[in-house]
Amino acid sequence: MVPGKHKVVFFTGILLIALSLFLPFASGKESLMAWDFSLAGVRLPFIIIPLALACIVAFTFGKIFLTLALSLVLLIIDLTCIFSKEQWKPALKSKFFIDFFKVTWVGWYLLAVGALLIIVATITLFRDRKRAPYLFLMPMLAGIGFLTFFPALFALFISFRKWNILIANKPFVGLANFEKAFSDEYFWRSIWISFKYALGVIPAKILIAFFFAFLIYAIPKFKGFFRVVYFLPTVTSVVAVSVIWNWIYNPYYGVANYVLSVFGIPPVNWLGDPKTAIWAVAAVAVWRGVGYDIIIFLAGLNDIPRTTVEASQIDGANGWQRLRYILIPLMKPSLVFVFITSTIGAIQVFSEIYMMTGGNAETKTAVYYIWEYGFSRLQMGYASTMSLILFAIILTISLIQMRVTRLLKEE
Amino acid sequence: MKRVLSILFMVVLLVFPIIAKTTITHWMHYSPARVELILEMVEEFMAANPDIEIELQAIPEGEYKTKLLAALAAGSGPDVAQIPSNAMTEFYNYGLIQPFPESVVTPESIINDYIPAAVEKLVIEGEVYGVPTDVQTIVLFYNPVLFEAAGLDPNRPPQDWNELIEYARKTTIWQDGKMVQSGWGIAGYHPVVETFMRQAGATFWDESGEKIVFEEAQLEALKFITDAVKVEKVYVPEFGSRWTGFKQIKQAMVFGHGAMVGSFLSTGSKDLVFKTALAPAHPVTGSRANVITNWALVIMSDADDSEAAAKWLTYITSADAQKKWMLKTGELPSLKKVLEDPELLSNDLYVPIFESLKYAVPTFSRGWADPASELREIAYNEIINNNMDPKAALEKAIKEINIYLEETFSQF
Repeated sequence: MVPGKHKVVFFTGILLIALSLFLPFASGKESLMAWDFSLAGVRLPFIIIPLALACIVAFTFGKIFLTLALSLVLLIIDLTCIFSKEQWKPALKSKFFIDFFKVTWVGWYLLAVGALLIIVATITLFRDRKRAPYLFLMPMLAGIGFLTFFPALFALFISFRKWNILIANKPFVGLANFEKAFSDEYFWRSIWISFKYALGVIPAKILIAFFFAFLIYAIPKFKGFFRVVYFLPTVTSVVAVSVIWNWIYNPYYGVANYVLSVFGIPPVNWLGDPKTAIWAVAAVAVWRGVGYDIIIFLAGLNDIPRTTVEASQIDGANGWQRLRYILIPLMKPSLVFVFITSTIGAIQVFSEIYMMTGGNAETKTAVYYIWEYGFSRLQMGYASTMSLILFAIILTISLIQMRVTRLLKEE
Repeated sequence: MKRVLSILFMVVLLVFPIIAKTTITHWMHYSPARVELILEMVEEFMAANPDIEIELQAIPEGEYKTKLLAALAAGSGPDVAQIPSNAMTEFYNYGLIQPFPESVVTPESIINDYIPAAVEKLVIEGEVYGVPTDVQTIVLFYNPVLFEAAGLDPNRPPQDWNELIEYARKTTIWQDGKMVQSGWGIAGYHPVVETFMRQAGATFWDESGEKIVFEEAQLEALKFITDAVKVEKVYVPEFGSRWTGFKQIKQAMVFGHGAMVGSFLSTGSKDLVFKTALAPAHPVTGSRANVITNWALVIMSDADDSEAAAKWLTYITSADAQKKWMLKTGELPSLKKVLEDPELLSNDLYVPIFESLKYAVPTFSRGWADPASELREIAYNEIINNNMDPKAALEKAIKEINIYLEETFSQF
């Protein structure tokens, strides 16, 4: 049995929804009522009324999730129905929110408020114990949903369109963007450069991080100090790091060439020479990222039971044998995690390239090329297509990595 | 009752100026000298126009275009901003800019008073949509001390391409297989490449004015520049930044914008001596054409008070203002009468720079992404880095430029 106060809220929402059908929904050159809108050829009242009735039935029988779902659908319909009218499609172009709220009128607001009241009434039906966790999670879920999942889904949507953010007309082009991407020599070159970069960063980062993590593990003195020192570059702003390293790599004033000159080696144009630029940037990424991996490896090493190590010592295993046959196998979960996350991060590099080379000297990585296409050539649809392809590539590589590392574990 | 009315009257007097004040938001890309100067102009303008408030926002150059674009798309852009002049047509077609009111500036005044090359893209359909700012041409910077050390006349810059390469050869020094001094710093910067192409006679556009076509003149210029690196070896990429090389007196010549005068004077070696000259002429056509690039100050279509906005923009591009821009930032004047200013002409470094304006031609580049940059991104880089055949590299660049032009301008 639904408590009284929830019924009041719920039916107030239903009443507002009913009222909204008789009041102007939008104002432009003329006032438009709900009847003047349609979705998929069906007039809006013929969608709203059945949904509202279904809400009433579901609510009466205590079907909380169904009521919630139906009220969310009502809210989504309210948010999107305005764009079904040709005259307001330009709201998709620019000034999205400012123009949108200039157009919407009383009926629209009543429908929105009504749907929200139904949602509130439904949520409050959940028992506190059931409701509380979701309420605690909601802000974070809302944030992730809005900032991560929604943009990802929207990218999928616009990848099938010629989408220029400054033009109202965004025609559907089917798979044309995908065809273009698969034949775009510069896109595949940028993917190759990203792979080259990743091949430089990943093994170096893992080996160096493991080495230092093992040192900290094996030599407990000043452990805390070294952990901080190695982690500091990770928490330093990538912009600040890039600016400093630009100076280190300066062909005339830089420390790097000074060190080379001490050994009689001629100066190198680190960031200007295509032969060295990508590796120079990779070195910075290794320096910056190694601290994070050290922490992960340290956690993995600390998780290994001391008794296992002591038992191997008693059995006569030397240091190298302990490392190879005890520590590394037991470290596999950490190694796999670092391997996969390093791969994903390396292939998606952008900030270091943007700050240090600006994409010059054969360092235009995939994300940089995508960014350039989206924000310089204003072709967001094509840029989204390339992002999806890159996502598919990274996903495939990650799945292969997980499969291979699982096979090694099983051995 | 009287007291109430008096208080009401005073409140209105106090509040009315606040209500009546027009606020103009101005976005520009950041450079210390430009920001310092424009802040002075803001104070002067607001003192002279107490009903107008200017809110200035200077954004780092690397982020400027992205931020401006995102803001315009979201409807939270400025009232006035600077945009690359090659983006004018695109912005006009997007409906993002509005014409200057004729009460403030007329198309006739723009055409008659300004250097034609600087304003060619700013008058659209008979209306003024922008005023020029940050005008730059391409000039030659050379080090007379290094010339003299190589046995060249320190007061005679190269007059044509043949002399240019000859001087570059003579001032290039190798030691133990390593370049220790470059004769001519080259990076394939596209206004420089385009300058050489224009001098060779390139016109770029087909008859429809919608596509770029391959021309032998373009190839001749491109080969000349890349051969200087690959064959003559007057510069090698490993040598480092052409700007730092010149500033450190390790490089005899470099092409650049006139604004580099300030940079060389302030951040160059204390022993650096340099002069400026017109870009050397083509040996056959005799052309001294050089490419002018500039930004345009525009009024966004959202700006409520276009008259106030136009008043502000014409204030910061007036003759007096342009003189200040030149003296403090190296930005070239675009008003013809400022070019005759005796104070500006008294500095020998500026004379060739001003002279270059007479030979200036607008860049062929059209669009926010500056497609002429493909001359460097593709043509120059493919030849230098990947040993591609120059003709193939140029055709590849032209193909990409046309793809961009088609995808951008076919939308309108």
